Amino acid sequence: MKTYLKKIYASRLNSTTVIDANRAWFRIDWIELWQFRDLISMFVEKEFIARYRQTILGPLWYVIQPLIMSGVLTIVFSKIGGLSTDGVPHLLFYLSALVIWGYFTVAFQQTADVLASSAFMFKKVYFPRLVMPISVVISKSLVFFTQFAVFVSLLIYYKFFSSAGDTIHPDIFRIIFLTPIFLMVTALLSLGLGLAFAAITVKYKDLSHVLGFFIQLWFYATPIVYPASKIPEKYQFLFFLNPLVAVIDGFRTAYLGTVALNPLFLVAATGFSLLTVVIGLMMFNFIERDFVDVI
Amino acid sequence: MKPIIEVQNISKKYQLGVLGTTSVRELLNSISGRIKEKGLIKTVRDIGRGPSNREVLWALKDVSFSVQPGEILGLIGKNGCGKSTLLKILSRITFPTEGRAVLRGKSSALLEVGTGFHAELSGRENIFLNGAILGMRKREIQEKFDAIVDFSEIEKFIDTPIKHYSSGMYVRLAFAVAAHLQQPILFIDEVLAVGDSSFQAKCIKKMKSVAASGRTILFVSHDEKAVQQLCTRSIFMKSGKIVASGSTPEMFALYQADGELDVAA
Repeated sequence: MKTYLKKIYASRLNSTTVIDANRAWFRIDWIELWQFRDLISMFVEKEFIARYRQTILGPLWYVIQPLIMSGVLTIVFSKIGGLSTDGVPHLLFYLSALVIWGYFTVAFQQTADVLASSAFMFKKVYFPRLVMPISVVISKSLVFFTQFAVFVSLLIYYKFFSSAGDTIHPDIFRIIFLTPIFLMVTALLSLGLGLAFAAITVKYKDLSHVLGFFIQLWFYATPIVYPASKIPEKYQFLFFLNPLVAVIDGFRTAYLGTVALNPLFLVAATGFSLLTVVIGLMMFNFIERDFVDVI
Repeated sequence: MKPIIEVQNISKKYQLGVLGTTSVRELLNSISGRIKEKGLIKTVRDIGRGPSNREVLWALKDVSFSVQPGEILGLIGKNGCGKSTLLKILSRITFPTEGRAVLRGKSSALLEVGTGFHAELSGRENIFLNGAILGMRKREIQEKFDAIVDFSEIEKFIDTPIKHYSSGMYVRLAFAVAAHLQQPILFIDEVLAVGDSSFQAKCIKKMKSVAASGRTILFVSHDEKAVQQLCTRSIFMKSGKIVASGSTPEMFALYQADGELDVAA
């Protein structure tokens, strides 16, 4: 493998770049992207570190936000609103959904903004434009893992050291085999949608106003503050339209042992996220070559 | 020997006026216009006033030239003559409307020093980030690190966040990174106009040694002295076209004669 890569690398060193007016829908130079992997890792590091430099709590902020949010949701929706959490501890119920939802929205929004926010660089230097959105999705996944670790610690605490332990039923099999799928679907979905939005926003700035509102609506269309099982079965086909339902509900089923949805939803969600990435890449690829003239 | 840079009939068109904003009406017009063009629907009534005929500027028109390996070529001309646009196309920041160019080797462009510098990061971290943005691998930067710090003359402040740097230190560090690029083709735009005169002299000297190492450089500048010192051959551009190419002194003579003509008229 290594020698194969070296060979490609060597051939690229003397390789020829052709610059022409041909605007193709799918012409991505994957080898060149691979050559810029060091840049990707540096951007990831910068994103993760520089953001909280000169703050007292530092990366603890990554952890505090979802915890406070879960606390607020517990008060508003369980205590005041009286919404069911499928019999599992409130905090775990909300936090399980929020770690995934948080990853998705932050990665999606930042990717959607990537052309505008990095235009100052793209106007002055060339590197594969895809480096930026890929670094966003990777750096946000580091944030996800931080929050995920907190969730798992809380889960262990509740399971073994609290009276609510019997209401939680983690399914080790599901956890091992489905967690990578949940993460992949979320990452691909935010990348694909983000790329598509980034491409359209270059020309139609209106979309950046729509995006925040769109995400708010999506929050309520996703079983975050309510369990998916509370949706009447005859309406459950609507879940096919929202791939995050399968991810968040599946995540809860695996870690907390809540009622499982039809596994077909997860298959559909995986297909949907792959399709989104292909479409997003095509749109981004189409627009990236001369967006600096427009933005 | 095959030319390392070959530019064939490159043109670049810009739409003047309101860039990037398209109203719903214009969008509908352009769609209906396109549908009519393709003859899908023959009797679409004009929704507005037909496809908008906004003004068009050809920043480059039919530019062709080639550069041999190891050549240092100067691009001279007044502001707006298209030399910077040409450099942007060759460095793939934007793309041509027509024509093509072939680069036989890796390239890097220096259109501005310090692109991507991050204020919160230290000088050390920024050397790595900026080097990677310019296309260097991490290992390459490590090898060059001492030389870069040495050249920039800021050893003492290397672990200070660069937001505390003076503008002179900032520029010196940025140029130092750029000066240690390894790509066989370099596109350079005006970056020599940095720092005080002693640092500028150092930059010119560094550029000369880079040039002597057999790399191919395309150099855009207003600074006659710098171009004269570095480039044996130059291209004189005007209004998006190549007027002439030849030895640098000759081209500057033409350029000045042309400037006097403009003043006289």
